[in-house]
Amino acid sequence: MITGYSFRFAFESLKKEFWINVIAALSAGVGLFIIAILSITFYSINSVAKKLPERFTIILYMKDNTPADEINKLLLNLKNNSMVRSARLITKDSALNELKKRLKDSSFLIEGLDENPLPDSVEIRLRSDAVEKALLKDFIKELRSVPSVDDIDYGEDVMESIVMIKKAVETSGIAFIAVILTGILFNFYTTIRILFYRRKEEVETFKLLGASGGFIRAPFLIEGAAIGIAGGLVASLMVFGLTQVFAFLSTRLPFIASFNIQPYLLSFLIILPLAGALLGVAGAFLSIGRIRY
Amino acid sequence: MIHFEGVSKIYEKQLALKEITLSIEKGELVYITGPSGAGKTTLLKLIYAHERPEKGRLVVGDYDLSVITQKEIPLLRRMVGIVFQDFRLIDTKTVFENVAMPLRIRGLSDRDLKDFVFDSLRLVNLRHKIEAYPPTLSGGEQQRIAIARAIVAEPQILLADEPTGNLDPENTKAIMDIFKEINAKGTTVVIATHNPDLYTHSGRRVFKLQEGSLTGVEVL
Repeated sequence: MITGYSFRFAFESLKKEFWINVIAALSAGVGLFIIAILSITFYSINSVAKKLPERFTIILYMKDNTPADEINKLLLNLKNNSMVRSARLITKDSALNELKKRLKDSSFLIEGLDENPLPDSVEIRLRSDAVEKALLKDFIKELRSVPSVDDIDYGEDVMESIVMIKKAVETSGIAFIAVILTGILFNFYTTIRILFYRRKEEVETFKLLGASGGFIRAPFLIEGAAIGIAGGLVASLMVFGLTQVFAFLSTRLPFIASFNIQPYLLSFLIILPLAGALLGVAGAFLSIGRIRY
Repeated sequence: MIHFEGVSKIYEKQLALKEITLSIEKGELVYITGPSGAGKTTLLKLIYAHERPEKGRLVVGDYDLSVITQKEIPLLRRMVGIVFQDFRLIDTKTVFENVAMPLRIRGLSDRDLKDFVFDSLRLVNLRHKIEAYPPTLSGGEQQRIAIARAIVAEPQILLADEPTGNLDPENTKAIMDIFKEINAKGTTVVIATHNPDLYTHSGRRVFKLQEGSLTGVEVL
């Protein structure tokens, strides 16, 4: 039962036990800040991984003397595939011209060749949602089974490393977040327990006068929520500070720009105090337990 | 209103109350008397479910205390006003806040509870001490604040544990007059005391306890 009195009781206690509450809010704030940083890291790695297929090119090297209509049929099939964003033919002649352009001053290396050693090839670009490793493997397998395809190059190692890093960060990150969340919860649990014991006499009198469990519990839950919100605001401030540091650094160090947290800032300013409040209430609830008469 | 049937209470293997059987009717004012350690406080504690009987049946109003649930205990206590031997006033709260507490517990807002608190304090003659804190009051004043708090929510039963202990005769008389006035309004009043001056010539029933046993009931 939450009444105006519950709020008054809670804020009296917040004022009276000011330093305990400040320390609890700061510890919760640091914990929530670390969680925010981990979430931002997740997001950044995920977004890099998501964009990967767009930059990702699969090259199909065709067998010599593959008839043009067979290549055209393959191109048509690829264009109809939902995973494929684009597919284009690079003829052996255009490939040789491209090579000559790249070699520039060293083009004498290929001048002595009697015939063009390069094969016809097909360059495939994937859609961004085709990042799933399993899907990609199936797709490659399917392409390998095409009789006119001689070889395939698709940067398998890079893809696997990215997927592995993503998984490792996810697993360790989730475990780390769980540990920190438990720590924050324990922080609220002990703080509210101290506050509860400091007012034990008062609480005992309330019980004898007929107060319900809800009446006794309410101020402590409010107190937990208030400390949690304060902790969340501390974390929000720290995240805001970090965005300023990133904004400054990204002008000097371009790779920092890929960890752009500016778009998440507003969400964090809302989510962190809310998460703090929820953890505070949960910690207080666990701390007080059942009221026994 | 209050019925004990063969109620016993044991504290750490020591029998505090032995097979008590007594009935207190609605609107009665009775005294529980006996020397220190006779079981007077324990008997009162059983009535407001601060202690549970080991044996026997105890009924207070509509509640059978041998089967009462945790959720029902606050409801039982709201029909009982208690004047504790040690007052149990909250030192960090003003007289107003202390007296208002039972009403806040019932969910009354500041606006709704004001009149009840003022009436109650007027009855104990301490309306002028409304902003004071308990530690600044004398023993007699604290006692009267405890009474004001016990009666503010107009309980059906009023329990008073040694309500005049250490008070001078003038304060004692004032407090007994308050109890009689409350009783005259229909509240059942149970006073535990070892002071015979309170009940002699009172014309009320007096339950005598000795080493946890009920040794007699007399109208004195």
